[in-house]
Amino acid sequence: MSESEKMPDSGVSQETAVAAPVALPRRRLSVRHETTYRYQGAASLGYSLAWLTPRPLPTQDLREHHINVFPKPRFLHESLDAFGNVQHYFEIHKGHSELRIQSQAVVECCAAPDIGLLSEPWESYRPQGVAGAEGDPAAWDFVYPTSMIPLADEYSDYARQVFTPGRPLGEALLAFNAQIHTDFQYLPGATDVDTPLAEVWEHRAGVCQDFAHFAVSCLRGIGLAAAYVSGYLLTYPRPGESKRIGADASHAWFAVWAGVEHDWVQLDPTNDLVVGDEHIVVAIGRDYSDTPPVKGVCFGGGQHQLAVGVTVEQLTN
Amino acid sequence: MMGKDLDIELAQQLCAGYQPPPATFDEMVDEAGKLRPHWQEFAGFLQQCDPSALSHLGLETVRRLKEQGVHYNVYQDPEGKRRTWQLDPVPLLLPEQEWPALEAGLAQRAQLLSLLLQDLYGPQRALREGLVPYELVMRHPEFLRPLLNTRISPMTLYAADLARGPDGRWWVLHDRTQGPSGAGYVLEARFVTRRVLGQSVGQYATAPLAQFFHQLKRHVGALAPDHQDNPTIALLSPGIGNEVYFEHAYLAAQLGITLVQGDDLTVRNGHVYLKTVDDLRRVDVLIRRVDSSFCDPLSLRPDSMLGVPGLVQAQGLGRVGMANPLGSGVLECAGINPFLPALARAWLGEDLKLPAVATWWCGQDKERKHVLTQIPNLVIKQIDRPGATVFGDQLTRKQQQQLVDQIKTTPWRFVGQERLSFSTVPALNGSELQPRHLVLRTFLAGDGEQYDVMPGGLTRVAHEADSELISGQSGGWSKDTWVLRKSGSMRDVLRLRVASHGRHAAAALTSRAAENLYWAASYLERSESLLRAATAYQTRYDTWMDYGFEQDARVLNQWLPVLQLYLPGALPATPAPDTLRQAMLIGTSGSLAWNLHRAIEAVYTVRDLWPADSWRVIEELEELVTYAERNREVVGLDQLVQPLLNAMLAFWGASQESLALTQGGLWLQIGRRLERVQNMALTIVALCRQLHEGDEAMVLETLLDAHGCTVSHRRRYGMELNYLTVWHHLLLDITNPRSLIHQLQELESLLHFLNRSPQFGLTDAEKILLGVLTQLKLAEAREWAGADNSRGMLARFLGELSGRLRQLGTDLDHQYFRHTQPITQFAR
Repeated sequence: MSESEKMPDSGVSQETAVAAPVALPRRRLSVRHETTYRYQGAASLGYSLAWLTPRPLPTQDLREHHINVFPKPRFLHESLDAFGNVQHYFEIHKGHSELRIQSQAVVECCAAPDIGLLSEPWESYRPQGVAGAEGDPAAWDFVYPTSMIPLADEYSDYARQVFTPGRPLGEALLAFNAQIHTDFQYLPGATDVDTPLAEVWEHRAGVCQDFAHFAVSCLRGIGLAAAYVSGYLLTYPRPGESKRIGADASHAWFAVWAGVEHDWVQLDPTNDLVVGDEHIVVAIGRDYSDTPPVKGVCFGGGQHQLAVGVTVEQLTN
Repeated sequence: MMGKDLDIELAQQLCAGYQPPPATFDEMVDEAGKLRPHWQEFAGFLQQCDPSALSHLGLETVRRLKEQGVHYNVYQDPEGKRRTWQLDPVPLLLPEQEWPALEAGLAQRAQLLSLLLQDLYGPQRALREGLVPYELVMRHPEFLRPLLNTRISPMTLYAADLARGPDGRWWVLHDRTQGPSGAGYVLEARFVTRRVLGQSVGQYATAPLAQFFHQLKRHVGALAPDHQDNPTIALLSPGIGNEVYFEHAYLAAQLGITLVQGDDLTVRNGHVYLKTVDDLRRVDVLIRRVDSSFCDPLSLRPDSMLGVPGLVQAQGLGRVGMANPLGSGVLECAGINPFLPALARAWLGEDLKLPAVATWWCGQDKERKHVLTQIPNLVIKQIDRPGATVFGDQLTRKQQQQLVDQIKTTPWRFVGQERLSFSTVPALNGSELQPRHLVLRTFLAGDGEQYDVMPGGLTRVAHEADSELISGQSGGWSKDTWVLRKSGSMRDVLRLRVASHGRHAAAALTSRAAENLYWAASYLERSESLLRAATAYQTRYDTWMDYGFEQDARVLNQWLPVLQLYLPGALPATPAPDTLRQAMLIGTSGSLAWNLHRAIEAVYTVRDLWPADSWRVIEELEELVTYAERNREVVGLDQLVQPLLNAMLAFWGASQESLALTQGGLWLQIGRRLERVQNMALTIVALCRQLHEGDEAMVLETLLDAHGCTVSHRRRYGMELNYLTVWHHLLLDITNPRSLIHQLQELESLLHFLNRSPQFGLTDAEKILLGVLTQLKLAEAREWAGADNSRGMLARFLGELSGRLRQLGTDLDHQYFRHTQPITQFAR
């Protein structure tokens, strides 16, 4: 999806990174996400996969989720994918020239965890042992390059600037996140879904997806298990303006596997944030292509246009 | 055939010129140069053959394979797309007592691999317990994430390539788990070898093959969802471009199942359906010969044109059985080899019964060091590129260094394998027998626990002496493999075709098959019309050359628009037959050669419908066209026409003999009739527009000639020949089998056959035809035989008729053919 996303304009401070005691009430967020494909001609049959349901996590409760597809699919099947995300498969059997997918969810999110708790040297969080017997099964699919996330020495070197030997993982991660935020320019339209990482690196510019891919590559390059996370971010209107419906966008960031106890630790380099109660996690994958919001094929249809609208709002508890 | 009292000395004379390389196991003679006991009888037979008899065996084999169109296509073959499969009639003989141990070892390996497959896509115990490294699996391109945690059936089909080392033991070289090919070739090898060797080796008792194919079909059928009694099974092929397409068609025909390609199938509600001429028909099981990654453009490779969107879901939901399941290609990873012994002990509580050739995976430190220091003594393979095999000792120093660098950069990608000196077997090379290294591909079918092993397999030998690079792609030859028995005979194999249909649903006629037959017939009929028009032209041209009458030249030019109906590009006035011939044989769209190639290609697409014994006519037709094209500068038109017409006649004869109307014959007939009436109508329209009054007698003569009606017209009207007689004879005379009206009546009964519910009335196509026929019946030739404007009336009449028949064709197309629209991937 090549939509640009909106940086939060205000209201987000570094305080979100402070530990959130479990007892604190969770923030209740709602998201509406509408995807529309308009075909030039008629398509006779359509097959799609969608990753739109927020992922149930210890730090995120899914209260409600509805998915509506127009025209109505003849067959819709929900399942868990290879990475434990909720995936929808649907078939449209009748002729159509427009496909609309509406997703609506309510989640309750925890504030960001205390990254400072990750106090062991970062090297010790690497999945252990070549044969894997000692390692964490969940992590092993996230240490290798993929077609969208190649590894390169210069990226690993970039990571090592902050991942100095023996540095506590939490500290290194915060520094790493801030480093990307500072060094890379957020430039909507500079890249699209298929822009290679090398280009992002060369121009030091891109959007959230590029930063997430880049961070994942850096971290895999130094031996950590890292994932691409897709989701949404709560944004705030400018002072004096009301929030516009559909003006938000889907968002992406990265996660590091910090062992069974800590699970995935998520950071958002686009906003230099530790992921907390303003982020809604949808899916965790090796890269974007594992869990795009919607993908599909149809027979016929020809050229088509894509329109996406996302609205994230805070609900009163 | 000599008896048991065979003179061993004589047999050893035979071996005198047969020199196996040192330090190898030879299948026929032992280290002392003596015949092994199980070869004595066969060697006796060979000994009786003088060099000319031996070379005759080879030639006879080639002749039979050519005749039946047994192909093995070599990619980027300079000799053209299709190449005759290379079979050596001298089989590999294996003693009966050797087989049970091999069988047990293979079945164990299949069981273990099947367990591993289900584990890797499920609980991943092998990975969690450190029995198989994560990296090996996670980085393998055929480990397909969309299949993870979905239902994966056991590995039904398995093939293993074996080689015998100098110590006489068999070793596993490769595992074939994706869509193992070759079993069909074994069957064909048995038929041909058996026939070529004839009665001379009739006493030999060989383990029969037929039973294995029954077992295979049973195991495949058992994958049907809900254990259906009468499952519909289809073989999914990439199509005629595939190197072993012959086998796909052959197996489908032998097993009595439907041969399909991706766009013959459609997924609805997670079920797989076949597009047949009648309706969508549920497919219960697919024998998959398309690599997994190409099978579903939705979940797997988006650029694949060979797959079916939704197939991953259909398999995952358990709504279609798949042999082998999508994702099974990961087992072909050569790096798994070193981990199988431990896996066998852990899961089966047994040691591996059949050893695999020693393999070191470079993803492990110690193993990598070993490989890096031993490159010249090893075979180096890449786990993600099965074709990339390198013999260490054949590398230059520089190449070795490059390889070392590559291994150091991506160690996980490489394995080193011990170099085994493969055993040798006598291979027929011209008129003598020479030792050649061999690899034996064995075949299994099973349910995950029990596996049946084909007795024998496909033996392949290197083309060159000393070469151990054995593959069909590099010019290797195949052989039949006889597992000798003390009793029984080889004859059982021939029973396969009759007995194999069993309780499985009859093969359905796919829309693709109907469509291709229809078009094959159209293209052939069109070619025939063109050939006849060209011959008629030449006859007239020769007269002109002989006598030089101006009128002949005029007639020729009036005839030219008829030729222009078919031939692309403008022709000069009164072109010489040579010019015509060249225009017919150039490759451009619309030419004769082009039409014939389209026809042949269409027939190839439905080759499973074609009995092997009548396939010869298609081979001959193709050879003729190819020959004519290559020699288009020198072949005379008359040399070209008659053989081609004969070949086409043979095609029609054979198709009538072998294709039942319900099995596609109907579509051939419809395509042919429709094309023929169109050609006749358009020919007359073209002529009417050009006719020079005064020349009509000669033009009409040529017209009759081009439609093969000269004789019947003369019988009916004597020497009388004018508009009236010709229009009546060609268009309206029901007693003339070549007349327009007769052809349309034939078409009418064919369309009636297509009508599924005649009690509810006529189909759209039938209605169109009835309208056309009625008009024709009411027409009077006299109206078209009068003054000048009556030719214009005829042209209009026939022009309109042609338009309505075109509409009829379109209707048939819409109702019965596939109409697959191009697949569009959503934008991201």
